[in-house]
Amino acid sequence: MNRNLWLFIMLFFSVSAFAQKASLRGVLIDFDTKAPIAGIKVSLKNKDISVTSSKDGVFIFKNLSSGADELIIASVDYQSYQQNILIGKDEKIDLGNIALIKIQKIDQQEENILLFDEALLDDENEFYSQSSSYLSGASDDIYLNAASYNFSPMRFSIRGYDQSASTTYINGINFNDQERGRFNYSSLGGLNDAFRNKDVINGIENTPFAFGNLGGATNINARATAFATGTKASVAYSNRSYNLRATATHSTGLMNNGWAFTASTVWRWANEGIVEGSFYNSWGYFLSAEKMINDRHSVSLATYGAPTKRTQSAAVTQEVYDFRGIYYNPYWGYQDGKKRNSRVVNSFDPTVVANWDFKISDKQDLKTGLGFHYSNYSNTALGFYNAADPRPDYYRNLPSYQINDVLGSYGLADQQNNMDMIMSNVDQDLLNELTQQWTNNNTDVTQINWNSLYQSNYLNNIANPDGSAKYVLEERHNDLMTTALNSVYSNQLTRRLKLTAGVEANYSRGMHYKTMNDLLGGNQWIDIDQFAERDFAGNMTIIQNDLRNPNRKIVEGDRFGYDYNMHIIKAGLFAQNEWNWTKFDLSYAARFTYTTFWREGKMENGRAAVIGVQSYGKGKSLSFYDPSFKAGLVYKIDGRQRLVLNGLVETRAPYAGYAYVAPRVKDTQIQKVVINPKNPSQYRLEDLPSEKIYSYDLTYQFTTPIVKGRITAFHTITRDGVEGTGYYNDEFRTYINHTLSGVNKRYMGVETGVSVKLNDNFSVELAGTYGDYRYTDNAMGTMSAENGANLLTGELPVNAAAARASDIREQVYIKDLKVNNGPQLAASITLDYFHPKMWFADITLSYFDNNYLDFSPSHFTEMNYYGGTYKDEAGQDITYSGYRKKGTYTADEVKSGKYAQDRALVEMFGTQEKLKGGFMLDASLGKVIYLNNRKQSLNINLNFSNILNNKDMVTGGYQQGRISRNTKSQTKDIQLVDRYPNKYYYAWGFNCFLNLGYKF
Amino acid sequence: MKYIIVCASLAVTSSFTSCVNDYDEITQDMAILQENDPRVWATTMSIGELISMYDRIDSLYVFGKDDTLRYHAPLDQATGTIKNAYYTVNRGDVEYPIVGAEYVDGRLKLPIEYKGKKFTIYREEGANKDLFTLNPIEAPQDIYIKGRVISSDTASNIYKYFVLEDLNTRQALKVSIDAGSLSGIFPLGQVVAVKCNGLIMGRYAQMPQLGVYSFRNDDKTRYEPGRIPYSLVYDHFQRIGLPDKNKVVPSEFASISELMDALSLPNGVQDSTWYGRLIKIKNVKFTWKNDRDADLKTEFVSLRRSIEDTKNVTAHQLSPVFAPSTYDINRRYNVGYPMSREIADAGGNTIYVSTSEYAHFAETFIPKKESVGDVTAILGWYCDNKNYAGKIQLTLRSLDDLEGFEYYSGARRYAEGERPQ
Repeated sequence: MNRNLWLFIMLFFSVSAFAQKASLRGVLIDFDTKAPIAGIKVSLKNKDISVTSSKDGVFIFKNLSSGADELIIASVDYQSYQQNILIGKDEKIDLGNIALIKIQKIDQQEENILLFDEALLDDENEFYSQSSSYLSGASDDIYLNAASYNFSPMRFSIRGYDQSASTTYINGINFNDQERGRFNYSSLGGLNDAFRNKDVINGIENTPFAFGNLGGATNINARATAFATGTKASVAYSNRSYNLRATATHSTGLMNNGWAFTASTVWRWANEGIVEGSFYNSWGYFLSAEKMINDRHSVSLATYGAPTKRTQSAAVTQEVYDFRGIYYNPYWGYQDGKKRNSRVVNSFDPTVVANWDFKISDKQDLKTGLGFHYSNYSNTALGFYNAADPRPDYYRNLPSYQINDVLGSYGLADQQNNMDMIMSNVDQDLLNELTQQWTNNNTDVTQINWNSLYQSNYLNNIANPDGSAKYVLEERHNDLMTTALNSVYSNQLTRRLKLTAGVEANYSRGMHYKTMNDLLGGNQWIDIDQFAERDFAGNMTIIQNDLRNPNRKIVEGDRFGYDYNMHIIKAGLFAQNEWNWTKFDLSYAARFTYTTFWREGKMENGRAAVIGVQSYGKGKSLSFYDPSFKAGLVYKIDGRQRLVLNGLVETRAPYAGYAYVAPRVKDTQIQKVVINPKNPSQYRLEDLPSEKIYSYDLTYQFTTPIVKGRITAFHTITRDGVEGTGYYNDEFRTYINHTLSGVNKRYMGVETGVSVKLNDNFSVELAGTYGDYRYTDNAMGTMSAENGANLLTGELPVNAAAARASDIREQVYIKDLKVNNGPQLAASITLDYFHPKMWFADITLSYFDNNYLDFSPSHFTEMNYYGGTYKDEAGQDITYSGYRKKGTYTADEVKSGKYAQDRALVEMFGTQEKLKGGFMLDASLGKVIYLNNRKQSLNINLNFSNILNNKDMVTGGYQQGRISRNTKSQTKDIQLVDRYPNKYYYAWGFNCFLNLGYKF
Repeated sequence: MKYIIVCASLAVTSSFTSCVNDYDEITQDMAILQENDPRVWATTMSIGELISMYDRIDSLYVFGKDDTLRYHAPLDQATGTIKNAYYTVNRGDVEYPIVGAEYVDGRLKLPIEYKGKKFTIYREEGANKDLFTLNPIEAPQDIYIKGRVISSDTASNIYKYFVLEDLNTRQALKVSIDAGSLSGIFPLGQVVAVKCNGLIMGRYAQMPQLGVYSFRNDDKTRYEPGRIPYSLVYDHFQRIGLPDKNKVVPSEFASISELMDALSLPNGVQDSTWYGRLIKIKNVKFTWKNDRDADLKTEFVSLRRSIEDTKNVTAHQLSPVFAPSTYDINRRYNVGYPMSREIADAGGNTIYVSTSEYAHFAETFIPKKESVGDVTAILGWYCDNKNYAGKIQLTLRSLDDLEGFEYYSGARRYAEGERPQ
């Protein structure tokens, strides 16, 4: 959505012919007050020169060379403005008054992003990368704005990429998490005022401050001089994750002594947010100081952090939503009459950024930054030992279990024709009693029953005083310490050629461990693995989480369970040239990146030790050498239209956070499985490769006084990726890790954003994308038991080689499944209204479709797809049936109903769910009131989201890995019953946001 | 103005610090339901009274609001009519024959006017009629029983049930609940009150059991008492006071014959009130025979090794351990029935210790032949077919239930590449 609508330009072109050299002049005035605006940076993009407006608002560029250029006016306080300008030889251009509109709406826009629950950004399953919304924030691009504001409630991802495809820089320093690849937006802690000032690069277009990334790059300028002088404060109410927010920001501006200071703080709070049993308590600070030492040197130091305590919510099955509504959350329960949430996130990311900007000469710049970041992140969760599963939505606790249990023993024919007979075997009275527990909301059952958990622990203290508590609240820590250095040198070598080169170095240490948060009345917890104990009761080694401290008694505050560090060193060099001609711009860049990572175990785990695999100490390191190349060509058709073609070819090292099989237990890296093409039953294992990326896009841009916008087509191929997930496998009755190697994907589509000015008051913005993001080939899957046992025989391998050999490696049929990074079709239309008395309003209708749920590889394995012959625990060959047949079905098979039965199984298990599409309607209203002779201003923003209260929109979730087979049939037939249905997150219904801002 | 706003925002900030998670710790006093607490359910009948009232093998009680009945009423093949079918509107009232009932597609269809009524169907005598039964516990007033948990599943020999012993009469009842590790919730020695209405009193292979209505899925042959869903536990069970395992005391018998005497009623019928109780038989030894009178071997052979050596899936079951795995080579699954090991008293009377292959001690060697000791166990009864005599099964809660024995130690043979676990 183009927020530049409120920017009105009054252009008075006056061209003089008698000047010797070309020049460009203009006067910046405040649209509303008509007062001149001083201290605003005005740049010519291609020439990379900028000037600052004087006290009377005047800016002048002198001695300009001829050619096309783009005038950019950027400021924190005013809407930025761009204009293409064709400078003729010796032409003297006077743009006259340019009226800039004060930014009013950004506040409420940015709140829209938070529609998307931060909790969904959490990586619930450590092993699997959840897709998430692209939070680029305000930008001048109509499409990007729509993606950020209108599409984010649906977990939309630009071009379908993972978050790791975008890089976020703060003062030029790469702050993406090097373990997982993505930028942690919640580390910014809602300090919107402090991080508002940014450059956003979409996709693989030329990036002036770095090499860039596949999905784009954002550079946040947090230097104190980037903030406008003055003080702002605001209070806001919303009925979303938090209820109240207060912010205050003060900036001195550049003072006479060369110093500038900015301070900002924010506080966000909800006793209970929109999701049941959720709360939010967060405050953030931001302090930035900059000293302009002289014309050539300036140094800056910024620090920020946001201690935050908030809760998580869970994806649940449709059955539960039908009972309790879309805001149901199984993570909380009453504790002595008060709500207590078992999933509390504690995060605090103190960060320091130091910068030195050195203007070597008029044409040369050196910008160097050093960043230090210590992310403390933990979330609590219930743990239990030899006791009933405390989760209220555990599938056996739900009414449907009573039906499914009966249904599973019948085939399709009976299910279609004899449902009455089947249902007569379900006890209706029992079903009713269980259903009423949910419909009457008996919170003893529908939520966590804390009193009962405490009671069990107190009983156990007597029954088993030295034993493990039955229920505890553990705290899972994922800390990350990062030191990052960036230095970028740029030189305008000639009038037409600019060189930019840089180095980037990063050392990160991810620290993963559990601590005991609350024993819930229990005496202690014993640090053993109950699942290993169940399977190998007599084995005193395998059950130990920490062999060097066997059977350790854990009390509150102790570390236990697992404890390992992940070390990542990354270094890169890049150089790029930008050529600038009258009709063409050309840029090309190359980067070389070195990555190495290794795991360091702090505990020796019994499940690793029994199979001879390392878990303690420094593990095997993997190194990667990755080249990247990109190029971009701009063809300037005329002053109003241009064609842009960009391309990228690179390899990308895998992220350490996704490179290991069960890193909590052992030092085992995922390996690539390479099948012998001559004999498909043979394979060899290779070290994890870099992913290969090929991408190009083509953009047509146009700007007229009435219509402006762009349309882009993009095509990206990624090859040789890895993915992983973990789930309880019913067949093997154990928790397994399932990794895929050789994952190939394709992302292609078009995106467009167009703004049409209807008159001085109304404008319309259209934005949309239609994409197709899919897996292009089947992948090789590796299933391995977390406890190290041979999945088929249940035995413990005698050594590491035998352990490797005992994994099940087979094709996973994921070809043509969709990438689950949000809707692949999204469109919005916005009608904007502006009244000169400073009233603002807009209304947006958005449509989403082609959204696909995350699939589980277990549903697409050879075993489940086509079946096959495997060894069983008695060492005997056993044939498993699948739900598909290779080849065509015979007439007999069709007649006997086998074909129909298989089709029903495929529909139930062997497909990826396509989620429902739908509309959302949003609107906002704003007003600015000037006080005290315009020295102060009060702005009011009211924002309504999802006005139609559409509660049918699933934003994400996952397919559960479990599939139940009839263990007593000869071929272990898959039962035609969905005992473990898909789990969903829903987009919120109607919600609103009211903000009052005061500026002085 | 500036300062007013700053002060106001500080005030707002400090006034809102409470959140959902401002809960109070739950102390032991708060968590434990004391015996004298008014919330504790008062017992309305003893376990024995409950069983005798609802474990009625002479009748099947039909409930529900449908006009069809769940139970297969006996059909007179000659006339095609239902024999001896009666209903009562109120419990204990005069019984009226069902008029106009039909037997269609294996189900009893009743005329519409019976809808919503409660029925008692008297069945014809049948061979297995009293082996698997289900009787819903329904009564105008709530029925509460109370007992002490005398079982423990920590050794995994007991799975998804516990046994309650009446605090006064000491009669016992097996309670099936659909959750593993039940001892984590209902520890040994815990006093538990049960609200019985809505549950089912039934017989599983002729052993009384408290559960819910269940349909046997795999062969779809019968209805049987099933496990109570865990989410009903909060509504139907109270854990009272703290567990006291010292109060779990077995009934002692000097010999197996003394036990058998206690079990025989004067009319020659076995006294089922002993089922489920914790007993201790003194001075017995393991005979090294199974329940088919086969002699056990002297070494342990794993299932895999045994199949490799003998192509036979039962040969290894003669290993002198408590419960070698059960495996059906034709259908390729562990059948899961418990394995029996015979014990004998000095007089040569025998009885079986029956152990699950999933017990932690399943592959532990049994005591030496000559070793004499005491066995404590849950006394079970199993009869799933009238053509065979039922048998008493002694279920050990853990190896601690064997006292004074000296264990055998012998060779263990595994298949190539197989690893002892």
